[in-house]
Amino acid sequence: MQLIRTIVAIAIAIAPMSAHAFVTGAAFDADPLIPPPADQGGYFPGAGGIAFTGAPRWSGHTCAVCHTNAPGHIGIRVEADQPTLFDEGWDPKKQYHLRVVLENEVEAVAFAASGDSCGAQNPPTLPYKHCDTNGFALEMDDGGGNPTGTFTTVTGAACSTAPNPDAAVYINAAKTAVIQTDTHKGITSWDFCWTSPGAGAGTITAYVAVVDGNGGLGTADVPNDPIGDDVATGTVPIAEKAAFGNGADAGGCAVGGGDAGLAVVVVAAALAFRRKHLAAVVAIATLAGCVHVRPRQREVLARPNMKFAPDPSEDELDLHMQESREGSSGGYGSSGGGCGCN
Amino acid sequence: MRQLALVIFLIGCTAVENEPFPDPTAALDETAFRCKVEPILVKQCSYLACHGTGESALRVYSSGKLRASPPATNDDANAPLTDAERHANFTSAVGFSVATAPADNWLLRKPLPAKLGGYEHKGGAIYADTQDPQYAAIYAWLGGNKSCN
Repeated sequence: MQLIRTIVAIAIAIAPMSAHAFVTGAAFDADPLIPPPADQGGYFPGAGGIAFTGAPRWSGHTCAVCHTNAPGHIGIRVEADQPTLFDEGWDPKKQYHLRVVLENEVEAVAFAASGDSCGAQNPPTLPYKHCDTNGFALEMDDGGGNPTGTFTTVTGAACSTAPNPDAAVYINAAKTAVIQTDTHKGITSWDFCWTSPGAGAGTITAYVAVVDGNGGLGTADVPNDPIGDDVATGTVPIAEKAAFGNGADAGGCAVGGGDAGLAVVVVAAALAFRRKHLAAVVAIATLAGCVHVRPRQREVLARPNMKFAPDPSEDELDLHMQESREGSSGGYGSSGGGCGCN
Repeated sequence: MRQLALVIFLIGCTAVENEPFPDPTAALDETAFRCKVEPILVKQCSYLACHGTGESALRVYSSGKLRASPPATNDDANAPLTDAERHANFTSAVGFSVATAPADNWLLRKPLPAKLGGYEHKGGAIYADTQDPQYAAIYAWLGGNKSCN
């Protein structure tokens, strides 16, 4: 499946540091104090079901709670197989093939080409060869901060619920987040599928955090640690498509042409004189000029020359005086625009 | 005259004895801490940018993160907590229990949502409310619970 790169710019990470043993997805579910059986990785410490994605239910915490002092070179890109997801919104009960991409990898990038031929678990590679181990965590929350929708892994290029031991993505036990598996090394992108919830969930936000691991000390004794890794975090709000035109979730409705005010007056006048047919015709003609304004199109509406004020300079002066007089500012004009991000 | 005044002054002095402050560890059960409270602290608080640092008033040792002795290998870092580390976690938590009612204890109060009285917790709200099972477990321990059941 060819993923269409629609896309969403996500903030670059700010936090710092690393963790010793959270390279496997299962570690996020393991008990923090009780070691798992040896055949499940021995005594790596667990996170007790917590995967810090930056979501509100984790008080905004991300991987940076351990991977401290990150240099902040990397970025995140989120892709979808359906380009309308990010600019028009999500459809209810629809399955999306998503991809999280670690951009501008820096740490251990020289060892990425080795792929899985690294580490101590592969005797033919001895002496020890550095691994490029990266990771991510993502969850999708509704407006109330609760995880929503369902995740599945990808087998080949297709979404699949069948167990896939080779999958690069792990779905946590609570089915609320997706995390890397560490099955393979040198990975900078992770594919998974997400099925949206039913209609009415409103805007859903993807919370994502990515770690660019530096391979610890590059030795068999310390193949990974939280020191010196890079971290990026971000959020991607995705509107509900059905809500377009209904207000806050959507881009809104712009009346075409420059005579909207006049049209409203004509309709009101026709109703006042009980010319119902005329009122209906004018209303229909006017409403036909309504269009959905996509998030990326808000840039145009946000331009200064789109303001109603006839003299922007005079408007600016009045605003300045008001701010000086009241000791307050903001709350004027229209928001939005920019890069087309939601 | 001065000598007489000094003698009278010294006679007026009385011996003052320092009464030992009650040992807070005596009132709080370490066994209950290990089974009921420590898992919460390790799971919620032990991250390296949070309480998994020796510079924090509440210092929490945990596998894979802060260790009492700098680990030489990943195996050392990930090994289960030693008895000494678990006792240190206990004494660190007990340090917050001095002369306060359980509900005012910083372990409980600070990580509450602000609308419920939480304050100045850099890590934000950890408990959903005072009915949160984690809150309840720590509250019970501070109230003298000695049971792991």
